[in-house]
Amino acid sequence: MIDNSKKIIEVKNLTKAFGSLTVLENVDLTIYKGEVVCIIGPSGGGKSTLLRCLNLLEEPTGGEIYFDGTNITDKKSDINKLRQKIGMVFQQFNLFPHMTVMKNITIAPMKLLKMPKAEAEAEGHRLLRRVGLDEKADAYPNQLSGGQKQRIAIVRALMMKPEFMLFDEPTSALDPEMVGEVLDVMKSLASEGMTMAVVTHEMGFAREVADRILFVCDRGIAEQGEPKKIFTDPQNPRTKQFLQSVL
Amino acid sequence: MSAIKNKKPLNIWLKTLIALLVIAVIIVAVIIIDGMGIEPERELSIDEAQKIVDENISSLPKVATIITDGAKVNVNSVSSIGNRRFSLNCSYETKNIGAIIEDKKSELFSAVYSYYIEREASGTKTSGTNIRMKVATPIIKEAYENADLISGECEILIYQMNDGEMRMYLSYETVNTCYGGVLDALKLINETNEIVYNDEIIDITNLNTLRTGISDCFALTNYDGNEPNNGTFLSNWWSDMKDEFQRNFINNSNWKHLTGGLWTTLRITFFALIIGIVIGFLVAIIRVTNSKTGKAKILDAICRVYVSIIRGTPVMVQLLIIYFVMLLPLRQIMLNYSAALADGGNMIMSKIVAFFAIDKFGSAVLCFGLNSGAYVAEIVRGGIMSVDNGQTEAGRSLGFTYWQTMYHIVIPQAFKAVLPALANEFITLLKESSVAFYIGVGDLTKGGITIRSITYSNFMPLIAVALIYLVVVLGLTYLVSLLEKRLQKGDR
Repeated sequence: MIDNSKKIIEVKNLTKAFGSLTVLENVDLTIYKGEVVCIIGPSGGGKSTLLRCLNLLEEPTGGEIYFDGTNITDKKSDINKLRQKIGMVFQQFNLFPHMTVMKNITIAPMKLLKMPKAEAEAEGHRLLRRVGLDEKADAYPNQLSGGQKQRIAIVRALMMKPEFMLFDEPTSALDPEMVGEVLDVMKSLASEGMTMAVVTHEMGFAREVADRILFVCDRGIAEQGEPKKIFTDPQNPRTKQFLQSVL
Repeated sequence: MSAIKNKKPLNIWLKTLIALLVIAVIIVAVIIIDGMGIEPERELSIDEAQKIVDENISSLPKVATIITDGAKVNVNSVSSIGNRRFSLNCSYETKNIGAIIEDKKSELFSAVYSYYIEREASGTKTSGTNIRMKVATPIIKEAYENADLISGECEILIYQMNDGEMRMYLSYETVNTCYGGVLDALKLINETNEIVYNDEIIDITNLNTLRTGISDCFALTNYDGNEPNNGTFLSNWWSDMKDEFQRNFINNSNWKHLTGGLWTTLRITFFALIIGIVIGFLVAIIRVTNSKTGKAKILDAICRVYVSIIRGTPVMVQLLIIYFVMLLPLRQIMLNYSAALADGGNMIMSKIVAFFAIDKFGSAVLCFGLNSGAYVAEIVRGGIMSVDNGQTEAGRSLGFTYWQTMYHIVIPQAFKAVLPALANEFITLLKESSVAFYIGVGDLTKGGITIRSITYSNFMPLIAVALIYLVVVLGLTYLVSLLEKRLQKGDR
């Protein structure tokens, strides 16, 4: 599945500071096409910040980020164009409450890719069926449960046909019985070869789905490797300590 | 950290500087515009007066439209309170006349000038005297569109001769005659050496003149002659009410003052509302953009100055400044320019310039639009800030630009959130527009006042005006609640 010859994301020397508080320092990271990377680590360690830097929702203080070979930290690159190819799913879903589900998922392809309405809606129905929510097409987001909202949010990102998807703690705001339905959708995406970076506290999911685990704490990637190795034989004492407390 | 610390005071200084600069520019602009126009009170040398008269005399209507008049009191009603004493009820309407006099200034100058020439020719001594003239009802009527009647008179102190040098003052002051009218009249008479009334010089050393003046007032005003009821209100209330209704609304088609006024009020509110929404959203978006991205510092400073000025001064004062200080002089300049263009044969340009010379109605619209814009801006800004930042992030992450995100995602939600507050603002706007009659706009309030000045009753016209405002406001409230319900569809 993983195409090691093609780098989707390449992060060089990334530094991010909020005022005097440095969150990330000199981080290097490469993600290859088809790879599923799970980012774990303690709260406040910089997991979400790292993820949000990848589509410039957070502007890095220093360093460079390449997406498909384009330097997106360069002021001259068209970040809006590039973001169309990077889907993102948020912890709080962030569905648009004033639009129906169908409008939520079709507005971006219609306005940005100039996709005709009929085509966008057909594609919308197809993806809704895939996540089992086609009957909710005309509902408004606040008529849905958390798990349903998050599945819709994933569909919304998929509608842009992204090459790469970011998940920022997609199950943290869900009731426990709804976590499974969202993870299932993510698993099926992963099995189809979608390149994904997932910030998560679901260790079972990370272990099962990830090709690589990043343990992020103390301003950088403290340890990374295959899930089996990280979970069974962590090298870094911080990783050990963290895994002991969550497993 | 240190870099941020260093930056902050610089920003504050820069913003303060820009704010001061904008204020200075506004003040200079006002002074320049003011300087080009005619000041409310002006002192002219005889040469200047001559020049004005020469320039204007050919285009003027007959000077006879201005009559000189002595002390005159508009008596609304006279009632006996027994024991050979009388109670006088006098009314006066003041504010509009000021605006009319502004319009008619050149006519007044020429009238005075010819009066002066006449007196010189007949050898009358003018040195050291004050001559008071009054603007007659016809001239006010002529200036005042769609009014059948103007009550009240305006006193103008015109000129003073001293040591062979003539100085001309033009100022308007009004005589408030309510109850104290007789006293005012007395005071006026005592200060005036002579009264010319109906082309006849009247000796005023005898106070009998006052009585004559009062009885003449009955003939002069449009008082319809009905005696007000005295203490019979309760016993005959039903027939009295019917009579009053008939008199106030049916006779002379008086109701037309209310419908015409309402139409004007609605038009003012509608256009002001559009201006207010446009300005309000623009200012709000600029200020939000600045606070979120820091990319519109200068515009933000301008917007803040605008909002502070509008919110820090009464709407009445704004209206007076916008009309008398800014737009009226500007209108005069533009109309003169238009006339010059017409003389030069360029009729199309002349008409265009004349079209853009903003009149009273336009001034009122502009003033209320600017005023509500500042309040709308604050409301909308609060609305936009209340939309969760996650919405912006979701929009941006899909690839929308900042402006697309604003347009498709943030503003629709903000609009829904602030709709009740906006509706309140617009209802306030509708009611506030009643001060427009201070610059002579014939709005609903003015309609009631006009009826009042015809029939001299207070109850019916004023209650009618209040009821009409109430009905319109309730109607608007209902419409807004319908819209709110529709917008709330996504909230269930």
